[in-house]
Amino acid sequence: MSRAAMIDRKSPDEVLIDAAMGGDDQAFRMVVERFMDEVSRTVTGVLGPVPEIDDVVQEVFIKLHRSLPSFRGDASLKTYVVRMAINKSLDALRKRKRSRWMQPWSSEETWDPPSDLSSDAEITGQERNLVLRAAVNRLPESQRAVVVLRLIEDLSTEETAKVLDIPYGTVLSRLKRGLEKLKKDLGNAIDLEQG
Amino acid sequence: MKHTTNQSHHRDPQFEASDALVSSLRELVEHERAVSMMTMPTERVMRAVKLAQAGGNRIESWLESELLSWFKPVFVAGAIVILGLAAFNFELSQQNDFNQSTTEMVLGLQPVTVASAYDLSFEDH
Repeated sequence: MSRAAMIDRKSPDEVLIDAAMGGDDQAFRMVVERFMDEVSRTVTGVLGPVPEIDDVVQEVFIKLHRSLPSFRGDASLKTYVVRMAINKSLDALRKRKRSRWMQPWSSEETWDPPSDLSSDAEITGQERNLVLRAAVNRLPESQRAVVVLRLIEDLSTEETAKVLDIPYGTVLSRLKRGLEKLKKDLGNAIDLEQG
Repeated sequence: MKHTTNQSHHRDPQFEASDALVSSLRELVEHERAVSMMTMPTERVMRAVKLAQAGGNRIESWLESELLSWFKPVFVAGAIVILGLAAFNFELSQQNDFNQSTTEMVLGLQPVTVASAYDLSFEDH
C-alpha cells in the first residue's frame, strides 16, 4: 500500500508530518487545510483587516514547512502552528509600526475613544466592528496576543501559556489588564453585560 | 468553520469577559477575515511553499557550488603563502648564530638569551 493511500483528512498530525517530511505534498496540503482557520483567525485577530493578512498566513505555512524536521512533538502541532502564527503576526505588527514611524506624514487614520457614545446610540454592525477593532488595536502587543488566543481562538489558559511561552499567571494578569483596557476603551459602545 | 466554543475560560476565576464581548470579538475577526483574505487560501499557500522550496533549493545549491569552487583555490593559495613564509623564516634563522630548534626557525621566533631578557626597552615601561 502506498503512502498516499495511507493518509487521509482524518490521519493524526504525526502521520501527516511524517508524510510531509517525506516529500508528500498532499500530506502538507492536509496540514494546511487543518490549521488554516486557526492561523488566519490568529493573524487577523492581531493585525486586523489589512492586505498583508494573506502574506503573513503564507509565511507561517512556509516557515512550518521548513521547520517540520525540527518539530519534536513536545507540544501539539496546533500549539506549534499557532505559536508561529502569533510570532509572525507580531513581527508584521512591529514592521508596520516601524514603517509608520519612518513616514510620520502618513495619512493613517486616527481614532478617538467613543466617549461621547451613549448606550442609546444607534450603532450599526459596521460601526460596532470599527469601534471594537480600534479598541483591540489600542491594546499593547502582549495583551493583544493573550486576548486573541484566549478569547478569539478560545485556547485554554494552559495552551495560551504554552504558545506564548510565558507562565500561567502571566497569561491571567495580561488577560485581566487587556479586558479592563478593552472595557474602558469601549465605554458604552457595546453592551458588555448582556449574555 | 467556526471553532468549538468549549467555554474553557470559565474555569478561570479572573475571567471577567462577558459572553457579549467574546462573541463580538469572534464575529469581528470572522468578518474581517472574510473581507480581507483572498479566496482559495490553501492553493495559494501550497504554491508559495513550492516556490519558496524551489527558491531555497536554488540558493542552497548555488552557495554549495560557490563554496566548493572557491575552497580549492583559496586553500592552495593559503598553503603556498604559509609554506613560503615558513621557508623564508627558516632561511633567515639559519643566518644567525643562535642555537634554535627547527620549530623556532620555521615559526621565526625571536631567540631568547640572557642578554635579551635583561635588555630593557622603552616599550616595557
